[in-house]
Amino acid sequence: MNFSGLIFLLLAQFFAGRGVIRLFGVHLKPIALACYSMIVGVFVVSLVPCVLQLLHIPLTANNLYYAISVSSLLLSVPLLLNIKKTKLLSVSFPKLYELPFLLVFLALAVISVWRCFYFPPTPRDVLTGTELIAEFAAREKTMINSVFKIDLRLNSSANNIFKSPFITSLQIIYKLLVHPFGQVWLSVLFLSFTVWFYTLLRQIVHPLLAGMLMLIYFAIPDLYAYTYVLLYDYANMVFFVGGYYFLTQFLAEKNRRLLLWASFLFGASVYIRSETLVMIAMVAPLLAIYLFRQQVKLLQIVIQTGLFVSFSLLFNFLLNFFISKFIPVRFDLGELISHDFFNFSLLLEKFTKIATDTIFSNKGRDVYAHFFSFFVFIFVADVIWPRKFSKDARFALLGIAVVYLGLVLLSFLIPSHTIFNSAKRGLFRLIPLIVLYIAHSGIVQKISGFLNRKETAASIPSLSGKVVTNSTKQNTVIDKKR
Amino acid sequence: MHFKINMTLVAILAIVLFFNIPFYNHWLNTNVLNPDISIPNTYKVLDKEQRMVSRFGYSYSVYKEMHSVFQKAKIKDPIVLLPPDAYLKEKKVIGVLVVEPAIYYYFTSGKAVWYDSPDVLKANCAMVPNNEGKITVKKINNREELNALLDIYKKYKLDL
Repeated sequence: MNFSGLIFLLLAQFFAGRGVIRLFGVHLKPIALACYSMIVGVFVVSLVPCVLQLLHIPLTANNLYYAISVSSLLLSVPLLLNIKKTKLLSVSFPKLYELPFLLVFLALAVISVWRCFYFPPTPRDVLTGTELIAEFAAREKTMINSVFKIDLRLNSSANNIFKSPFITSLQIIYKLLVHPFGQVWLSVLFLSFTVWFYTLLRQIVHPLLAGMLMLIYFAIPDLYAYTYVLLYDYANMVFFVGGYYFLTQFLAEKNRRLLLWASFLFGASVYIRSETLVMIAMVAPLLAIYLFRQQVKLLQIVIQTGLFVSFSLLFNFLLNFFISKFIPVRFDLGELISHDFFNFSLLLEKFTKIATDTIFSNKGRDVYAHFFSFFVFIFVADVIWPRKFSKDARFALLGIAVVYLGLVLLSFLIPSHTIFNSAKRGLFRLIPLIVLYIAHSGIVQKISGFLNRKETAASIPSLSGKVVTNSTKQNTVIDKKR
Repeated sequence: MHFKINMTLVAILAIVLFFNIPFYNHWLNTNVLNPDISIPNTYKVLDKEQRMVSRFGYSYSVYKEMHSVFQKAKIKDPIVLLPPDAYLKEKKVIGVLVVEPAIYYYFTSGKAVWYDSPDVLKANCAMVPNNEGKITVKKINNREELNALLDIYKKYKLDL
């Protein structure tokens, strides 16, 4: 393993991502800023091999090193121009009672990162597609390589070579600069997303509850497995959930920069898995209706909805452009699409089968453990008491409905999008949204408020002559708001 | 301080109780803490090929060995005809799974075909199970030998 190559890439990704965030002009909290710098950096750097390939520049370690350096420096320019405004990362230490959870998460994270480094990419979908292309691109210095001279089973339903160049590009970079199996970029995404998600939960609920929710989230067998098994779905989830979260932030703050930022993250998720476009197409009218009900002017609704879908359309175009340039064989999506559009009984069957065959089946339990049962329990409890659905809880539920219905529609339109194999991983997008819903649910908020009050009361006698920590202040403020 | 200590005990209790739920306990012990792929047992074996074998199993070693046999035999541009998986099972071959031509290429950098591949007629060697359940390799010298093998293999369904 080439550690200097890894450090170079981590720095390049961080500065590239940080520069992109500066370009969007969104203000994130320090940890969120650091995490999203890495997440966006991974995405931006993944475009570099595609540009080199377009320019017919050989994909060598040296060329990638120079190209990544130049692109990261260019993207850092907005950062350098505002260097005086740049604040250093300030981190508040976790509380004593968070440590048991953090130790468990650390252990799980170490095991995941080790497996990601240690084992070669395994799933058939990548071995017969993007990983295969990447392996021979690293050897032959071009994405258009000898792989296309072998039998790729194009006469069957397999279409793995036509998938996004996102994994191909990152695998080429990491194989040439870091490690023969590549793949450790997945750990970068996993760690960055997990840290951000935990800090987000800590802002919503008492840290003890945040720890418990994260534990349930971590212990979803398949979601955990895909933190070290190379496929598209985990990366897609990271960008989709980020996009959805920042969209809800836009709706709360009405800051158009947040809308563009959400659009960018959604666009990245489309670039990774193009069928995500279906879900974004479902969110767009909901956004327009929401803005209409907020009495926003019609022109503004059109502009804002247009901005929302802009990056998804742009990245979808880029994805198809790259595939047309880098895959020297043709693929007709039309052959995959069902033409039985008015078969509503089939649509209804797909609607129920995702729940019965995937989520609440015995196989589903092996995949998601008791996570969905826990969600249903909290939801039903919430309906009975306290029956208060905050705006954030409703947004999360809406996101859950969009993903579920989007998967139903995909399974209906594309017969090869099988209920168990394809929808199973597509449901990953739901999981963080469900965790967010649970955190915002009335019942959990009641418990959180109780714990916050107890903690504040317990700390009052010790206040005299002592400084209250930032997080205690923050929790108190949150509690008062409620 | 008492509050924080109490909360810490609650956190520890929550973790212990959580991992005592049968499903999570099973997941923890068989997957997360699986000794076969634990860090203490794997960090000593960092050779790339051994890691490939530990992930892809015996089949990987068989394909690598097969490819080296063709190279040693100095067969020019070997294209291997792979049997259907069902045929291997019928011949009671244990531990070897038939892979797609793409995965064979990924493993060995060598070309392989299935009986329905576009280039099947270019196959010049074959992977053939014998009656003792062992894998053998065979050079295909002419179209008759190839057709004889294809006639057998085509009786079996190909599975991805």
